[in-house]
Amino acid sequence: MGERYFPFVTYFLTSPHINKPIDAIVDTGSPYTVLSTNEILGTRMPVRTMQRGKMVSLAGFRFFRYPINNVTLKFKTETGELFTGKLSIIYALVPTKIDKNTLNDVKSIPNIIGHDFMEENGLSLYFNPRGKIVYLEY
Amino acid sequence: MEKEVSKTQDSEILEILKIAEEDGKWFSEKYEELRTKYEGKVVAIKNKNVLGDANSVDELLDKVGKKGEDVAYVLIETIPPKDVSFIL
Repeated sequence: MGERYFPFVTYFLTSPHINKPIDAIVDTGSPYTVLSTNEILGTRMPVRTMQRGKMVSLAGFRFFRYPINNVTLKFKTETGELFTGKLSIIYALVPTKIDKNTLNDVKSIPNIIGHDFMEENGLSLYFNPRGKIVYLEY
Repeated sequence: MEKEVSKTQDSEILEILKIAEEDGKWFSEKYEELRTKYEGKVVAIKNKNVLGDANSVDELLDKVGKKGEDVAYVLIETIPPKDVSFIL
C-alpha cells in the first residue's frame, strides 16, 4: 500500500447534516470520532449554523469541534451484511485559524474513528500491518 | 411497510459501501503511482478512476460538479507532498 497511512475503514454516515460514505482511519489514540476539515468542505456542511464546541489539537493544529448528535455509522461486514453502530456525538473539525495556508496544511488530515465509537458499540480493532489486514470486530 | 423501506435503504447503502470500499482499496494500492502524478493535490475517485484533481476541495467540487457527478458519492482524498508525514 505504499506510504499511505492506514488502517482505513469505510462506513456510511447517517446524520442530520450529511448522509454519505466516509473513509476514515481508526485511531485508538483518539478519544473522539471526527470528520475532517476536508470532509466538511467537501459536503458543504453548514457549520456557521451549528453550535461551536471546545478546541482540540490534532497533528499539531488546533480545531474547534462542532458536535453532530445521534449519528449512525454503517459498515459492510465480511458476509455482506450491514452492521449499524450508533454514536451519541461525532465532531466536525474546523481549524481555529481559517486562512488559505492553514486550510492547505490541514487538508491531508483524515476522518478519524476514535475509541468513543468502539467503546459505545463494543468493537475491537484487528490490525496486522505486515499482512495489510485491518478490520473492526463486533 | 416501514421494514420494507428500511431494507431497500440498507441494500442501497450496502451497494454504495461496496463501491466506496473498492475505491478506497484501489487508492491505497495505487498510492505511490498516484503520488507521482498528483502530489500535493486533492483528487476525486470513482469506480477506480481519478475523475479530477485540484489544489483545494472547493476547486475540485466545482470540477467534479461540472462533469455531472454527485459529489456525495465520490471519494475525495488528499495526496500530501513526499516530504510530509502525519503523526496523529
